Amino acid sequence: MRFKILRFFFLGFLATITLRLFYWQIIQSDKLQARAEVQHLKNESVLAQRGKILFSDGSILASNSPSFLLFGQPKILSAEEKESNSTKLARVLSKGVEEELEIKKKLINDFSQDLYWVPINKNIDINTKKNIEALSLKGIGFVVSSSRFYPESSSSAHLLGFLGSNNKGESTGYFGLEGYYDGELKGLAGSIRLEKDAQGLPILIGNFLTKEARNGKDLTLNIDRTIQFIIEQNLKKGIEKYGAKSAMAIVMEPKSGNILAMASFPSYDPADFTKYPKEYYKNPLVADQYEPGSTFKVLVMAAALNEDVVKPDTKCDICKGPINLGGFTIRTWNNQYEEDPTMTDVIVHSDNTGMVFSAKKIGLDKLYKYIEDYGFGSPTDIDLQDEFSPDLRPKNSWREIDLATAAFGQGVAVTPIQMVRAVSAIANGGKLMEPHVVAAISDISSTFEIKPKVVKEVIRPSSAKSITEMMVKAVEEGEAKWAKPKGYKIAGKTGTAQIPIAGHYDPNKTIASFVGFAPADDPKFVMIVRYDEPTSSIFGAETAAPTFFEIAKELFIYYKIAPNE
Amino acid sequence: MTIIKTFETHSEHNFINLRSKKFILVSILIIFFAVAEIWVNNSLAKLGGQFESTLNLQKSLMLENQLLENEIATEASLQKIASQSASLGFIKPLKVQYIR
Repeated sequence: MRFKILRFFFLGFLATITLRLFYWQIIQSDKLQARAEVQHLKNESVLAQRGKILFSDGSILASNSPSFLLFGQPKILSAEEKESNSTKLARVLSKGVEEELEIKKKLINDFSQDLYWVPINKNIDINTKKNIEALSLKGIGFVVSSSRFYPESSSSAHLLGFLGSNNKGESTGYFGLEGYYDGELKGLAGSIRLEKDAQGLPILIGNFLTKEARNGKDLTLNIDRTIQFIIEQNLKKGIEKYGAKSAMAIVMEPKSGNILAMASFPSYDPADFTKYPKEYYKNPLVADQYEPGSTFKVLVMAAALNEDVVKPDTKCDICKGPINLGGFTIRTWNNQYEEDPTMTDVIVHSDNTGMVFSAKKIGLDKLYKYIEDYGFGSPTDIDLQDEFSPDLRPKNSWREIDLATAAFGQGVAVTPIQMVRAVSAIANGGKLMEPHVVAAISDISSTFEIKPKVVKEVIRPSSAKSITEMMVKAVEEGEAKWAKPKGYKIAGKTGTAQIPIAGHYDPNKTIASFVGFAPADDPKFVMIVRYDEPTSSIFGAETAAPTFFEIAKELFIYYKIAPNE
Repeated sequence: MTIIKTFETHSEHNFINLRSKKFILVSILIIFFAVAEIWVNNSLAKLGGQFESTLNLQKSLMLENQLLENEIATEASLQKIASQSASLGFIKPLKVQYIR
């Protein structure tokens, strides 16, 4: 009997052990395995470095700077420690007494949350981190991250764009180069998985899995930092001097389509973009449409020369006075008229009636085709995210008056990049190029170079030569001749376009611009300068042209181009 | 009674001898490699700390390198050069003379 009881007892004991083992090994196995893995495996993600953006000489325009996320652990802190941490941290993180109080309030709020982990402050720099670490506070820590660093501060902001966060909280490039090349720049994060011992140190003979982080690719730009600096300084001066609402300029290499410089003001700081109005983010040089005014005349005249419907010495026999067309009267800008001016005179004196004469000679079908061939009505495919192209009105909706006004740049909407590219076709013997900001994309093992691309030949080299001579004369004898640097052959044209408001043109507000290239015989650069609503003078000849020539003077010295006249 | 004593042939004796020698040799090798493995594992386990500190050193050097690179870029920026040169009294040339 005793033996039976003992046997029953042992069997029961065995069954209990079996059931318990079944519970741990089968039912709870996943949970326990996961807990064991957490205890002896270490998973770490390795951040990929965002690619750098470099000027053409290799100097840095945008790079990365190590930054840190400050976090707190409210659950391990007592009420006194929370109060003391908030006071001490607020002192380090603030710049003034008022800000200190605000930050302290926020920190007290953060620490009062019933959480194990709360983010306190993003993008803390290394010096602030050292100052916080020196306080030896309990319940706070840092996570390494990275932020964008701009050694030239707010320079080239519109060109660069900025780095923000998407709806998943991931760093994403917006606008400009950061937006256009986000895929190339951002890279791919990696990870490390290794076994650790009781002290948390890696066990080298254990499992060791690594997925290498792939850093983003670097962009080397065509932007020349000296030229960029020159145009930025001159535009800053100009916007104040002429009391303009905004100022902008592009410098392009006509033979390659490379963008050498691009700037516009007002601008913003890409490192602190949230402090600026959202309207500032868009690059107006590629996204802002305007009526080009008289700068458009050189393109229409080039088309007329190319079609052999006029020659530089062809006389205009309808230019003695205002032209009446479909109920509208077309006048010259100063309401003064010459007797039979030649086509060269028409360009030199920016004569609207002479342009109507040449446009009529070309005819709507051909002129419309030229406008399209110059690249208007479609994007230039510049490598910037914000590009926008205003549509051309359908040809069948054009009336006779539309053909006439288009001849002097009214009723046609363009962007500055479209305009400078079209004029660069004249400087390049008639060949229209695709504009490029980036010269090369490179990673650790390879470099991809972006080659110049000819889009099409819009006009013959001989026509380009003829219109160039007319543009040179426009600079030598036109309204802006007083500002021209002596000894240099510069081809250019002023433009003063009125701003259309609610069906009519505002008589007091203009867009003043100057587009041209130099040296005219062998152009090194094409440039457009534009001021919106200048107040000191409404004319391009008195605002944009002087700035153009000031920049050109500095570029001649930079390129070591001596005067030849 | 006849006692018959059988003697192993010379070749059989040699074979057994060789087999036991081989057995001993293999055993020694196994023991040697087992000890070696334990020793290597032990040594490597200790190196975990060293590996961790080397990794941390690499990270901090890379961080420092990045900071120094950024400092150079800031000091060499045209904004900085322009303000420094202006404070030292340098100005843009008012007129450039070309010698032919």
